[in-house]
Amino acid sequence: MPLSQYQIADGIRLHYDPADKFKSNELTVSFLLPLQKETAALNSLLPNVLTRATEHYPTFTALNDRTSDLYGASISIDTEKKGDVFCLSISFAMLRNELIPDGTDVLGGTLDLLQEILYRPLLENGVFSERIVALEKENAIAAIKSLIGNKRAYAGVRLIDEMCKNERYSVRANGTVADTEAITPKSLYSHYLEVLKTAQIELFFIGSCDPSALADRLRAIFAHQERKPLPLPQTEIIKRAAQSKEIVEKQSAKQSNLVLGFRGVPTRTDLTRNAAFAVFCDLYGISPTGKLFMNVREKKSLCYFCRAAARAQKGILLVQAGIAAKDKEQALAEILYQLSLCQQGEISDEEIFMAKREITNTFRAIFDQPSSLQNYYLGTCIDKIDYSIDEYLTAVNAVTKEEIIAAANGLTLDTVFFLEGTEQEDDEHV
Amino acid sequence: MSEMKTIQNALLGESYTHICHDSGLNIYVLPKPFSTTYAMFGTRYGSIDSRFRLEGASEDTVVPDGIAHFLEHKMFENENGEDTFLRFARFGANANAYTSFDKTCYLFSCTDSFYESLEVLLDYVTHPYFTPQTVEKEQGIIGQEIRMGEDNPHNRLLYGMLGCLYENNPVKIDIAGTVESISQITAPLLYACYETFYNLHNMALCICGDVDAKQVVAVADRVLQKQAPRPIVRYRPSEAPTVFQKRYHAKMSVSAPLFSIGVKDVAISACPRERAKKRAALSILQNILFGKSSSFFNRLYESGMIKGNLDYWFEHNEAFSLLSLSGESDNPEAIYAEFVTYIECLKKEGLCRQSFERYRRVQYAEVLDIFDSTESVANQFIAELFDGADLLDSASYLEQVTYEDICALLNEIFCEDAYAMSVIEPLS
Repeated sequence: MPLSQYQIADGIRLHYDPADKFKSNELTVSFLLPLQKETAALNSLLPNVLTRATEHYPTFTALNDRTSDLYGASISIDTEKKGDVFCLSISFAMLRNELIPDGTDVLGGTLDLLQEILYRPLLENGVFSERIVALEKENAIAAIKSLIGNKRAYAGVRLIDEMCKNERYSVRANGTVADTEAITPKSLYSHYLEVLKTAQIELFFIGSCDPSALADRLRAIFAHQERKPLPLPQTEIIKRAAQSKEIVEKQSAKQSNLVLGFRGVPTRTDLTRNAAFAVFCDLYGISPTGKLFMNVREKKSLCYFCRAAARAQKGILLVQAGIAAKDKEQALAEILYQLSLCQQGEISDEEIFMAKREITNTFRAIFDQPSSLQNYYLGTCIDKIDYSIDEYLTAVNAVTKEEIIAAANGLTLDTVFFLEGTEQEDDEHV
Repeated sequence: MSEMKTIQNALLGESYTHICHDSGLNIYVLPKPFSTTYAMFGTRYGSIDSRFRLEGASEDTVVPDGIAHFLEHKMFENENGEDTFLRFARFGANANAYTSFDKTCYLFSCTDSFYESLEVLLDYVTHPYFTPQTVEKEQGIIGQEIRMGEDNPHNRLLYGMLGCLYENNPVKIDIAGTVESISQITAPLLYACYETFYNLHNMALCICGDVDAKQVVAVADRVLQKQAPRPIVRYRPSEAPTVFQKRYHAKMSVSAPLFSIGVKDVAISACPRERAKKRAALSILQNILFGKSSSFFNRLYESGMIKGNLDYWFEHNEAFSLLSLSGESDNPEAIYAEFVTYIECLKKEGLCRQSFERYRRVQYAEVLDIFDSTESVANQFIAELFDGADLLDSASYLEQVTYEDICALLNEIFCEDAYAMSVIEPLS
């Protein structure tokens, strides 16, 4: 399943994956920008405003009626940070033309919509509609504030706030309430024009079509776009924590959330070390046969959820557990103890074998969903990876025990964040 | 000798092989040339089966809330002490399980060594092992799962809404139970539930992926013992068509109020085909009423009454039927009032015919979309099967739905006596 690239314009590429086993096609346009406090709120708001209304579809109803008429073509947006890179994506999922009973050209219609959304947004006095910007700002602010309703996510974000306090990475992908409030239709529109000019733009098409014709159509869409693409920032990586710190925050909740942040995850460009780290991470903290699940959860019954998640772009590892407040010291000790076992080489051949198989399974499964394929390709663009999934899996299967031990020993604990739930077990709010 | 037959649907371009295995288990193999193969071994037993008649008993047994889910956790324990996840991991399979209102499913996905993993699946689910020690250990783990759920405002919102709609229907009971209710669970009780519901005639195996049905049968032949069918007398209490209570309020650590409006529907046909057809009609109707093009959503959005999206879903099966819409709002009561007025106006004016045709197209695409994932095929197939229907008929039912059908549904289901709302508010 070879992926092919087509140059569309300066700093704009199309990645085409002829995955013809799906009934759908998926087209995504991703804008890659630097992660900065000054622009995070603007970047986060932008796709919401763009996909609300356009010149020819000046109401949300009209725009949705159009996508419904295209046999349920759906538009979704995503904003996230990968390391110090801000990714802003707009995706179109549609049924393949061959499956449309009445011969409607859904692909053509969707490409027209892409052009419409990007280049014919609904404007008033030469800038974005005041009404739409005002409403979307309110929604965005509500979304930012709603984080406290999801304790696990909140605890994870707070850990990053504290651990990366003096680093760019602490900028929250959806911005702050104050920065969002300060946005005006004019500032947002000016920023949008800058994004079109300077962002690295990656287009992904996963499905079945004539790629040359698609590339030509996309070139036509971007034909008049002035382009001065800026290089993406190098993510700032701190390899070792000088010392560790602990922060406790109290909130009204029945369960507490413990999050540990470690430095020392290798970047993906280093294939061998990254593969070794992946094997370590799986057998330590991801697999249900891994050390954290088997010990913190199954043996000690301290939690239902206890898992490790690597953020390779930033070089950090998070371990998170939902526990009773009284078990904090025990859970923390056990998580660190299980890590020390890995560092000392207390790892069986069977654990290594199972981790390799699990990673192989996970990566092969990427090919089974257009969205996971697109997300994977986006990651390779940002991380500038030039090896294929097959080459990665070969490296994973070649990982040695010594390399796993080295990966574990590369970690240093930087920050512990404890979100202490203050509700008593029997509290009931009515 | 197991009986095999192939069922096809030309409209969808999909087919499957149905095997009536000697043991009593029905097996379904849906071919798909994907990397991942997905297998699901499910039983028609979930949280709503909180009361049932044991064979030979003169009275119903009432079991503690959360026992179906607890049993699911304990299923992973093996008598020889070996961890089930280890058994799967050796073959590179990714295993999991879940309990819902009406079923418990044990599953795995893999990209190779499928038949070895299938053998593990069939083996561990057909060999229960419960002891007082293993039960006690699980209480700590599930206790934390329950706490996690209690801290989740969307979870509280859902059960608050269900508690408003239903007086007797056990669907309002939290699937995981409470810390108190699970402390009542014992190994003998687990065995009683297992013996009653985990009979192969009450279960199904569904596999979607690049597999050979004959080899699947060979694995089943090796592992499964023949079982006689066992009659299950389920408790299905009656419910008034009107809601039990109109409001539920709770305060939690959230930034803004969340609301969930529930619409109760007790018109449930005993005929599975009729229910499947009603599901097709409801899938179109809910999009017309609450979708992104609807005047209702756009009015809420334009006025700032709702923040973010309006989420909506419905459930219609043999045990319960309801619709729900939810979201975040500074003024849930205003949304409720808006909802009531909106429905009344629509009932007078009638639904837009063009919208009906439009959303029928959208639903057709949604049905096709299911078949782009071995996981969604297996899950949806079992869900339809356990309600007596066939996933492959979904597109056909959509074709059969008429504009008059959905207008009739609007008038039948949407009456104010059938509405209730749960609200989660911030701590003051």
